[in-house]
Amino acid sequence: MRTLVAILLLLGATLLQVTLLPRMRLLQGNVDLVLLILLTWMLQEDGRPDWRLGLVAGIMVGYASALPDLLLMAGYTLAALACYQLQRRIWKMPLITMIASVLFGTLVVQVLTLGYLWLSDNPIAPLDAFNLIILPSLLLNLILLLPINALISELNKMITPSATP
Amino acid sequence: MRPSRNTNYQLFAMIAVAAGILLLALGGYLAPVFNSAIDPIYNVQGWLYTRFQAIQDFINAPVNIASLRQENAQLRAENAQLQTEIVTLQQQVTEGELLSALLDFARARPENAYQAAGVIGQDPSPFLHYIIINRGSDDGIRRGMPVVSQQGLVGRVVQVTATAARVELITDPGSQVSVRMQPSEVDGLLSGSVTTQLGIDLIPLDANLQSGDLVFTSGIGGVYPGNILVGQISNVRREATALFQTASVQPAVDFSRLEIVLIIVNFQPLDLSPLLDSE
Repeated sequence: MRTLVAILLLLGATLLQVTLLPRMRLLQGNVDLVLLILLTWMLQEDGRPDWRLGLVAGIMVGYASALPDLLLMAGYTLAALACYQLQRRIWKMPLITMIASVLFGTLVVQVLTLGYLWLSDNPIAPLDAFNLIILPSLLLNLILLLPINALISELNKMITPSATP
Repeated sequence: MRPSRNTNYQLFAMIAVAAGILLLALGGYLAPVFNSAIDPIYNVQGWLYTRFQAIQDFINAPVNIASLRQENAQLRAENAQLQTEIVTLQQQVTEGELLSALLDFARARPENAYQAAGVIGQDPSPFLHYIIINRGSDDGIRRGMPVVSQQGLVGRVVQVTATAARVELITDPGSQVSVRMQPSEVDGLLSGSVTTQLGIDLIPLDANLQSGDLVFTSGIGGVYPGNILVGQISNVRREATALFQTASVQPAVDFSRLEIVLIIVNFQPLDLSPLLDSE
Protein backbone atom coordinates (compact mmCIF):
# COMPACT_ATOMS: atom_id res chain seq x y z
CA MET A 1 0.00 0.00 0.00
CA ARG A 2 2.69 2.48 1.02
CA THR A 3 4.77 1.67 -2.05
CA LEU A 4 1.75 2.08 -4.29
CA VAL A 5 0.98 5.49 -2.79
CA ALA A 6 4.62 6.49 -3.19
CA ILE A 7 4.62 5.47 -6.85
CA LEU A 8 1.40 7.41 -7.48
CA LEU A 9 2.90 10.44 -5.76
CA LEU A 10 6.04 10.22 -7.87
CA LEU A 11 3.92 9.87 -11.00
CA GLY A 12 1.94 12.98 -10.11
CA ALA A 13 5.15 14.84 -9.33
CA THR A 14 6.62 13.81 -12.69
CA LEU A 15 3.55 15.12 -14.52
CA LEU A 16 3.82 18.44 -12.69
CA GLN A 17 7.54 18.48 -13.38
CA VAL A 18 6.92 18.20 -17.12
CA THR A 19 3.93 20.50 -17.47
CA LEU A 20 3.83 23.21 -14.83
CA LEU A 21 7.12 23.55 -13.04
CA PRO A 22 9.40 24.32 -16.02
CA ARG A 23 7.47 27.60 -16.37
CA MET A 24 8.31 28.60 -12.80
CA ARG A 25 11.99 29.29 -12.96
CA LEU A 26 14.51 31.12 -10.87
CA LEU A 27 17.13 32.24 -13.39
CA GLN A 28 17.44 28.99 -15.32
CA GLY A 29 16.96 26.64 -12.39
CA ASN A 30 13.72 24.95 -11.45
CA VAL A 31 12.49 22.92 -8.54
CA ASP A 32 12.91 19.15 -8.67
CA LEU A 33 9.58 18.08 -7.25
CA VAL A 34 10.21 14.40 -7.92
CA LEU A 35 13.39 14.50 -5.85
CA LEU A 36 11.68 16.37 -3.02
CA ILE A 37 8.77 13.94 -2.89
CA LEU A 38 11.14 10.98 -3.06
CA LEU A 39 13.34 12.18 -0.20
CA THR A 40 10.57 13.49 2.07
CA TRP A 41 8.65 10.26 1.57
CA MET A 42 11.71 8.19 2.43
CA LEU A 43 12.28 10.25 5.56
CA GLN A 44 8.79 9.43 6.81
CA GLU A 45 9.82 5.80 7.08
CA ASP A 46 10.86 5.03 10.62
CA GLY A 47 12.65 1.77 10.10
CA ARG A 48 13.69 0.82 6.61
CA PRO A 49 13.17 3.40 3.90
CA ASP A 50 12.94 1.82 0.48
CA TRP A 51 15.81 3.24 -1.57
CA ARG A 52 14.49 1.42 -4.64
CA LEU A 53 11.96 4.22 -5.00
CA GLY A 54 14.92 6.14 -6.43
CA LEU A 55 14.97 3.72 -9.34
CA VAL A 56 11.26 4.28 -9.91
CA ALA A 57 11.70 8.06 -9.81
CA GLY A 58 14.62 7.81 -12.25
CA ILE A 59 12.59 5.73 -14.68
CA MET A 60 9.66 8.16 -14.55
CA VAL A 61 11.76 11.27 -15.07
CA GLY A 62 13.85 9.45 -17.67
CA TYR A 63 10.71 8.72 -19.65
CA ALA A 64 9.88 12.42 -19.79
CA SER A 65 13.39 13.76 -20.25
CA ALA A 66 15.77 13.71 -23.18
CA LEU A 67 18.51 12.67 -20.78
CA PRO A 68 19.38 8.94 -20.71
CA ASP A 69 17.21 6.83 -18.41
CA LEU A 70 20.28 5.20 -16.86
CA LEU A 71 21.75 8.55 -15.91
CA LEU A 72 18.60 9.66 -14.15
CA MET A 73 18.09 6.27 -12.52
CA ALA A 74 21.63 6.49 -11.20
CA GLY A 75 21.14 10.05 -9.99
CA TYR A 76 17.88 9.47 -8.14
CA THR A 77 19.04 6.13 -6.74
CA LEU A 78 22.22 7.72 -5.41
CA ALA A 79 20.15 10.47 -3.84
CA ALA A 80 17.85 7.88 -2.27
CA LEU A 81 20.78 5.82 -1.00
CA ALA A 82 22.36 8.94 0.49
CA CYS A 83 19.10 9.77 2.20
CA TYR A 84 18.94 6.20 3.54
CA GLN A 85 22.45 6.39 4.93
CA LEU A 86 21.96 9.86 6.39
CA GLN A 87 18.79 8.79 8.12
CA ARG A 88 20.57 5.83 9.69
CA ARG A 89 23.49 7.92 10.88
CA ILE A 90 21.85 11.12 12.07
CA TRP A 91 18.38 9.82 12.78
CA LYS A 92 17.91 12.03 15.85
CA MET A 93 17.95 15.20 13.76
CA PRO A 94 15.34 14.76 11.04
CA LEU A 95 15.51 18.37 9.86
CA ILE A 96 19.28 18.19 9.37
CA THR A 97 18.87 14.85 7.63
CA MET A 98 16.25 16.29 5.34
CA ILE A 99 18.25 19.35 4.37
CA ALA A 100 21.44 17.34 3.90
CA SER A 101 19.58 14.79 1.77
CA VAL A 102 18.12 17.47 -0.49
CA LEU A 103 21.46 19.24 -0.79
CA PHE A 104 23.25 16.06 -1.72
CA GLY A 105 20.45 14.73 -3.94
CA THR A 106 20.15 17.96 -5.93
CA LEU A 107 23.90 18.19 -6.40
CA VAL A 108 24.18 14.54 -7.47
CA VAL A 109 21.44 14.78 -10.10
CA GLN A 110 22.64 18.12 -11.46
CA VAL A 111 26.33 17.26 -11.50
CA LEU A 112 25.68 13.93 -13.19
CA THR A 113 23.63 15.74 -15.85
CA LEU A 114 26.37 18.30 -16.34
CA GLY A 115 28.98 15.55 -16.62
CA TYR A 116 26.89 13.68 -19.16
CA LEU A 117 26.49 16.81 -21.27
CA TRP A 118 30.24 17.34 -21.19
CA LEU A 119 30.91 13.76 -22.25
CA SER A 120 28.30 13.92 -25.00
CA ASP A 121 30.14 16.79 -26.69
CA ASN A 122 27.61 19.33 -25.52
CA PRO A 123 29.66 21.29 -23.03
CA ILE A 124 28.15 23.94 -20.79
CA ALA A 125 30.43 26.38 -19.00
CA PRO A 126 30.67 25.08 -15.41
CA LEU A 127 30.44 28.57 -13.94
CA ASP A 128 27.29 29.35 -15.93
CA ALA A 129 25.82 26.00 -14.98
CA PHE A 130 26.61 26.58 -11.32
CA ASN A 131 25.35 30.17 -11.18
CA LEU A 132 22.34 29.89 -13.42
CA ILE A 133 21.09 26.36 -12.87
CA ILE A 134 22.56 24.46 -9.93
CA LEU A 135 22.44 27.19 -7.27
CA PRO A 136 18.94 28.45 -8.15
CA SER A 137 17.63 24.88 -8.31
CA LEU A 138 19.19 24.15 -4.94
CA LEU A 139 17.63 27.25 -3.45
CA LEU A 140 14.19 26.43 -4.85
CA ASN A 141 14.42 22.86 -3.57
CA LEU A 142 15.34 24.06 -0.09
CA ILE A 143 12.55 26.66 -0.08
CA LEU A 144 9.93 24.11 -1.05
CA LEU A 145 11.33 21.37 1.16
CA LEU A 146 9.43 22.25 4.33
CA PRO A 147 5.98 22.74 2.79
CA ILE A 148 6.30 19.54 0.81
CA ASN A 149 7.54 17.70 3.87
CA ALA A 150 4.48 18.92 5.77
CA LEU A 151 2.16 17.70 3.01
CA ILE A 152 3.86 14.32 2.77
CA SER A 153 3.85 13.98 6.54
CA GLU A 154 0.10 14.61 6.67
CA LEU A 155 -0.46 12.14 3.87
CA ASN A 156 1.67 9.60 5.67
CA LYS A 157 -0.42 10.03 8.81
CA MET A 158 -3.59 9.55 6.81
CA ILE A 159 -2.56 6.28 5.22
CA THR A 160 -0.72 4.87 8.25
CA PRO A 161 -2.36 6.23 11.41
CA SER A 162 -0.06 4.08 13.54
CA ALA A 163 2.85 6.21 12.34
CA THR A 164 1.45 9.21 14.22
CA PRO A 165 3.71 9.97 17.18
CA MET B 1 -91.96 78.89 -17.23
CA ARG B 2 -89.46 80.41 -19.70
CA PRO B 3 -85.86 80.93 -18.65
CA SER B 4 -84.98 84.48 -18.14
CA ARG B 5 -82.40 86.31 -20.26
CA ASN B 6 -80.01 86.35 -17.24
CA THR B 7 -80.15 82.59 -16.98
CA ASN B 8 -79.20 82.24 -20.62
CA TYR B 9 -76.24 84.56 -20.15
CA GLN B 10 -75.13 82.58 -17.10
CA LEU B 11 -75.36 79.30 -19.01
CA PHE B 12 -73.47 80.74 -21.93
CA ALA B 13 -70.83 82.13 -19.64
CA MET B 14 -70.43 78.78 -17.88
CA ILE B 15 -70.10 76.93 -21.16
CA ALA B 16 -67.59 79.50 -22.37
CA VAL B 17 -65.55 79.19 -19.14
CA ALA B 18 -65.74 75.39 -19.31
CA ALA B 19 -64.63 75.41 -22.96
CA GLY B 20 -61.84 77.82 -22.10
CA ILE B 21 -60.64 75.64 -19.24
CA LEU B 22 -60.88 72.59 -21.49
CA LEU B 23 -58.87 74.31 -24.24
CA LEU B 24 -56.27 75.49 -21.73
CA ALA B 25 -56.03 71.97 -20.30
CA LEU B 26 -55.69 70.42 -23.78
CA GLY B 27 -53.03 72.98 -24.61
CA GLY B 28 -51.08 71.96 -21.50
CA TYR B 29 -51.28 75.36 -19.89
CA LEU B 30 -52.92 74.03 -16.76
CA ALA B 31 -50.35 71.29 -16.06
CA PRO B 32 -48.55 73.25 -13.32
CA VAL B 33 -51.85 73.87 -11.63
CA PHE B 34 -52.87 70.21 -11.82
CA ASN B 35 -49.43 69.06 -10.67
CA SER B 36 -49.43 71.33 -7.68
CA ALA B 37 -52.82 69.95 -6.78
CA ILE B 38 -51.96 66.28 -7.39
CA ASP B 39 -48.42 66.14 -5.98
CA PRO B 40 -49.52 66.23 -2.33
CA ILE B 41 -51.90 63.38 -3.04
CA TYR B 42 -49.08 61.36 -4.68
CA ASN B 43 -46.80 62.07 -1.75
CA VAL B 44 -49.37 60.86 0.72
CA GLN B 45 -50.05 57.80 -1.43
CA GLY B 46 -46.33 57.03 -1.67
CA TRP B 47 -45.85 57.42 2.07
CA LEU B 48 -48.74 55.09 2.76
CA TYR B 49 -47.52 52.55 0.19
CA THR B 50 -43.98 52.35 1.56
CA ARG B 51 -45.26 51.92 5.13
CA PHE B 52 -47.66 49.26 4.03
CA GLN B 53 -44.92 47.51 2.01
CA ALA B 54 -42.61 47.58 5.02
CA ILE B 55 -45.27 46.02 7.21
CA GLN B 56 -46.03 43.41 4.53
CA ASP B 57 -42.31 42.59 4.17
CA PHE B 58 -42.00 42.25 7.92
CA ILE B 59 -44.91 39.82 8.03
CA ASN B 60 -43.71 37.78 5.02
CA ALA B 61 -40.00 37.97 5.91
CA PRO B 62 -39.35 34.33 6.84
CA VAL B 63 -40.87 33.09 3.60
CA ASN B 64 -38.97 35.65 1.57
CA ILE B 65 -35.62 34.91 3.21
CA ALA B 66 -35.95 31.26 2.34
CA SER B 67 -36.88 32.01 -1.23
CA LEU B 68 -34.16 34.68 -1.45
CA ARG B 69 -31.57 32.27 -0.21
CA GLN B 70 -32.68 29.74 -2.77
CA GLU B 71 -32.65 32.34 -5.48
CA ASN B 72 -29.25 33.55 -4.30
CA ALA B 73 -27.84 30.04 -4.49
CA GLN B 74 -29.27 29.60 -7.97
CA LEU B 75 -27.82 32.91 -9.09
CA ARG B 76 -24.45 32.03 -7.62
CA ALA B 77 -24.44 28.70 -9.42
CA GLU B 78 -25.48 30.42 -12.62
CA ASN B 79 -22.79 33.03 -12.11
CA ALA B 80 -20.13 30.37 -11.61
CA GLN B 81 -21.27 28.59 -14.74
CA LEU B 82 -21.21 31.81 -16.73
CA GLN B 83 -17.73 32.61 -15.43
CA THR B 84 -16.57 29.19 -16.56
CA GLU B 85 -18.12 29.77 -19.95
CA ILE B 86 -16.40 33.16 -20.20
CA VAL B 87 -13.02 31.59 -19.42
CA THR B 88 -13.66 28.82 -21.94
CA LEU B 89 -14.70 31.31 -24.60
CA GLN B 90 -11.68 33.50 -23.89
CA GLN B 91 -9.44 30.45 -24.28
CA GLN B 92 -11.19 29.59 -27.54
CA VAL B 93 -10.72 33.15 -28.80
CA THR B 94 -7.03 33.04 -27.93
CA GLU B 95 -6.66 29.66 -29.56
CA GLY B 96 -8.58 30.89 -32.60
CA GLU B 97 -6.30 33.90 -32.97
CA LEU B 98 -3.27 31.67 -32.64
CA LEU B 99 -4.56 29.22 -35.24
CA SER B 100 -5.42 32.10 -37.53
CA ALA B 101 -1.86 33.42 -37.25
CA LEU B 102 -0.48 29.94 -37.91
CA LEU B 103 -2.75 29.62 -40.93
CA ASP B 104 -1.50 32.93 -42.27
CA PHE B 105 2.06 31.72 -41.78
CA ALA B 106 1.33 28.47 -43.61
CA ARG B 107 -0.45 30.26 -46.47
CA ALA B 108 2.50 32.58 -46.91
CA ARG B 109 4.70 29.54 -47.60
CA PRO B 110 2.67 27.25 -49.83
CA GLU B 111 5.75 25.22 -50.79
CA ASN B 112 5.74 23.58 -47.36
CA ALA B 113 3.26 21.09 -45.93
CA TYR B 114 2.50 21.58 -42.26
CA GLN B 115 1.15 19.52 -39.40
CA ALA B 116 -0.07 21.46 -36.37
CA ALA B 117 0.74 20.14 -32.90
CA GLY B 118 0.06 21.25 -29.36
CA VAL B 119 2.82 21.66 -26.81
CA ILE B 120 2.10 19.29 -23.93
CA GLY B 121 5.24 19.52 -21.85
CA GLN B 122 8.82 20.55 -21.41
CA ASP B 123 11.91 18.64 -20.46
CA PRO B 124 12.14 18.40 -16.66
CA SER B 125 15.90 19.01 -16.72
CA PRO B 126 16.84 22.69 -16.53
CA PHE B 127 19.94 21.92 -18.61
CA LEU B 128 17.94 20.99 -21.69
CA HIS B 129 15.56 23.11 -23.72
CA TYR B 130 13.17 20.61 -25.22
CA ILE B 131 9.42 20.57 -25.61
CA ILE B 132 7.08 17.64 -26.05
CA ILE B 133 4.33 17.84 -28.67
CA ASN B 134 1.19 15.76 -29.09
CA ARG B 135 1.91 14.46 -32.61
CA GLY B 136 4.01 11.41 -33.36
CA SER B 137 4.81 8.85 -36.02
CA ASP B 138 1.11 7.99 -36.37
CA ASP B 139 0.63 11.52 -37.71
CA GLY B 140 3.54 11.31 -40.12
CA ILE B 141 6.08 13.03 -37.89
CA ARG B 142 9.64 11.91 -38.45
CA ARG B 143 12.95 12.63 -36.76
CA GLY B 144 14.67 15.73 -38.06
CA MET B 145 11.58 17.60 -39.25
CA PRO B 146 11.80 21.35 -38.63
CA VAL B 147 9.31 22.95 -36.25
CA VAL B 148 8.11 26.53 -36.62
CA SER B 149 5.53 28.84 -35.13
CA GLN B 150 3.83 31.86 -36.67
CA GLN B 151 6.73 33.93 -35.33
CA GLY B 152 9.58 31.91 -36.74
CA LEU B 153 11.87 28.93 -36.21
CA VAL B 154 11.28 26.85 -33.07
CA GLY B 155 13.56 23.84 -33.48
CA ARG B 156 13.52 20.32 -34.87
CA VAL B 157 12.10 16.95 -33.96
CA VAL B 158 14.73 14.76 -32.31
CA GLN B 159 12.72 11.87 -30.94
CA VAL B 160 9.39 10.38 -32.00
CA THR B 161 6.94 7.95 -30.43
CA ALA B 162 3.63 6.84 -31.90
CA THR B 163 1.65 9.72 -30.40
CA ALA B 164 4.20 12.27 -29.25
CA ALA B 165 7.51 13.77 -30.23
CA ARG B 166 10.34 15.63 -28.57
CA VAL B 167 11.51 18.87 -30.14
CA GLU B 168 14.92 20.40 -29.53
CA LEU B 169 14.52 24.17 -29.32
CA ILE B 170 17.05 26.40 -31.04
CA THR B 171 17.84 27.82 -27.58
CA ASP B 172 19.13 24.45 -26.37
CA PRO B 173 22.87 24.53 -25.60
CA GLY B 174 23.38 21.68 -28.05
CA SER B 175 21.49 23.28 -30.91
CA GLN B 176 23.26 24.74 -33.93
CA VAL B 177 21.58 26.36 -36.93
CA SER B 178 23.15 27.68 -40.10
CA VAL B 179 21.84 31.21 -40.56
CA ARG B 180 22.10 34.12 -42.94
CA MET B 181 21.89 37.75 -41.86
CA GLN B 182 19.89 40.25 -43.87
CA PRO B 183 20.61 42.61 -45.52
CA SER B 184 24.33 41.83 -45.32
CA GLU B 185 23.84 38.30 -46.78
CA VAL B 186 26.52 36.98 -44.44
CA ASP B 187 26.35 33.39 -43.18
CA GLY B 188 27.01 32.27 -39.64
CA LEU B 189 26.38 29.52 -37.13
CA LEU B 190 23.71 30.16 -34.51
CA SER B 191 24.09 28.37 -31.16
CA GLY B 192 21.87 28.10 -28.11
CA SER B 193 22.99 28.43 -24.52
CA VAL B 194 21.87 27.69 -20.97
CA THR B 195 20.69 31.27 -20.66
CA THR B 196 18.31 30.77 -23.65
CA GLN B 197 20.20 33.54 -25.44
CA LEU B 198 21.20 32.88 -29.00
CA GLY B 199 24.62 33.72 -30.38
CA ILE B 200 26.13 33.64 -33.85
CA ASP B 201 29.73 32.58 -34.29
CA LEU B 202 32.03 32.35 -37.29
CA ILE B 203 31.03 35.68 -38.78
CA PRO B 204 33.84 37.07 -41.00
CA LEU B 205 35.50 40.18 -39.64
CA ASP B 206 34.78 42.16 -42.79
CA ALA B 207 31.04 41.59 -42.52
CA ASN B 208 29.16 44.78 -41.74
CA LEU B 209 26.48 43.83 -39.24
CA GLN B 210 24.17 46.18 -37.38
CA SER B 211 21.86 45.77 -34.44
CA GLY B 212 18.40 45.09 -35.80
CA ASP B 213 19.54 43.03 -38.79
CA LEU B 214 17.26 40.07 -39.38
CA VAL B 215 18.49 36.51 -39.09
CA PHE B 216 17.07 33.75 -41.30
CA THR B 217 17.93 30.11 -41.74
CA SER B 218 20.35 29.66 -44.63
CA GLY B 219 19.52 26.05 -45.49
CA ILE B 220 23.22 25.17 -45.49
CA GLY B 221 23.82 21.72 -44.04
CA GLY B 222 20.35 20.52 -44.94
CA VAL B 223 19.09 20.42 -41.36
CA TYR B 224 16.63 23.29 -41.77
CA PRO B 225 14.99 24.75 -44.86
CA GLY B 226 16.10 28.21 -45.84
CA ASN B 227 14.49 31.60 -45.27
CA ILE B 228 12.75 30.94 -41.98
CA LEU B 229 12.96 33.88 -39.60
CA VAL B 230 15.06 33.12 -36.53
CA GLY B 231 15.40 36.50 -34.84
CA GLN B 232 17.07 39.86 -34.85
CA ILE B 233 20.63 40.82 -34.05
CA SER B 234 20.75 42.65 -30.74
CA ASN B 235 24.48 43.08 -30.26
CA VAL B 236 27.63 42.66 -32.37
CA ARG B 237 31.04 41.99 -30.81
CA ARG B 238 34.31 42.55 -32.65
CA GLU B 239 37.57 41.77 -30.92
CA ALA B 240 40.84 42.89 -32.41
CA THR B 241 42.60 39.57 -31.89
CA ALA B 242 39.74 37.29 -32.88
CA LEU B 243 39.46 35.60 -36.27
CA PHE B 244 35.69 36.02 -36.38
CA GLN B 245 33.13 38.35 -34.91
CA THR B 246 30.16 37.22 -32.89
CA ALA B 247 26.63 38.50 -32.47
CA SER B 248 23.80 38.07 -29.98
CA VAL B 249 20.38 37.33 -31.38
CA GLN B 250 16.99 38.09 -29.93
CA PRO B 251 14.80 35.13 -30.97
CA ALA B 252 11.62 35.89 -32.90
CA VAL B 253 9.73 33.19 -31.03
CA ASP B 254 8.62 33.65 -27.44
CA PHE B 255 9.60 30.21 -26.18
CA SER B 256 7.97 30.69 -22.79
CA ARG B 257 4.53 30.97 -24.40
CA LEU B 258 4.61 28.23 -27.00
CA GLU B 259 1.23 26.53 -27.25
CA ILE B 260 0.79 25.38 -30.82
CA VAL B 261 3.55 24.74 -33.34
CA LEU B 262 3.74 23.70 -36.98
CA ILE B 263 5.89 20.83 -38.17
CA ILE B 264 7.13 21.02 -41.74
CA VAL B 265 6.36 17.46 -42.80
CA ASN B 266 7.57 17.60 -46.41
CA PHE B 267 11.13 18.57 -45.52
CA GLN B 268 13.66 15.76 -45.51
CA PRO B 269 16.79 16.67 -43.56
CA LEU B 270 20.01 15.60 -45.23
CA ASP B 271 21.97 12.85 -43.55
CA LEU B 272 25.60 13.85 -43.96
CA SER B 273 26.98 11.28 -41.54
CA PRO B 274 28.23 8.87 -44.29
CA LEU B 275 30.23 11.72 -45.82
CA LEU B 276 31.61 12.70 -42.46
CA ASP B 277 32.53 9.07 -41.65
CA SER B 278 34.44 8.70 -44.92
CA GLU B 279 36.66 11.56 -43.93
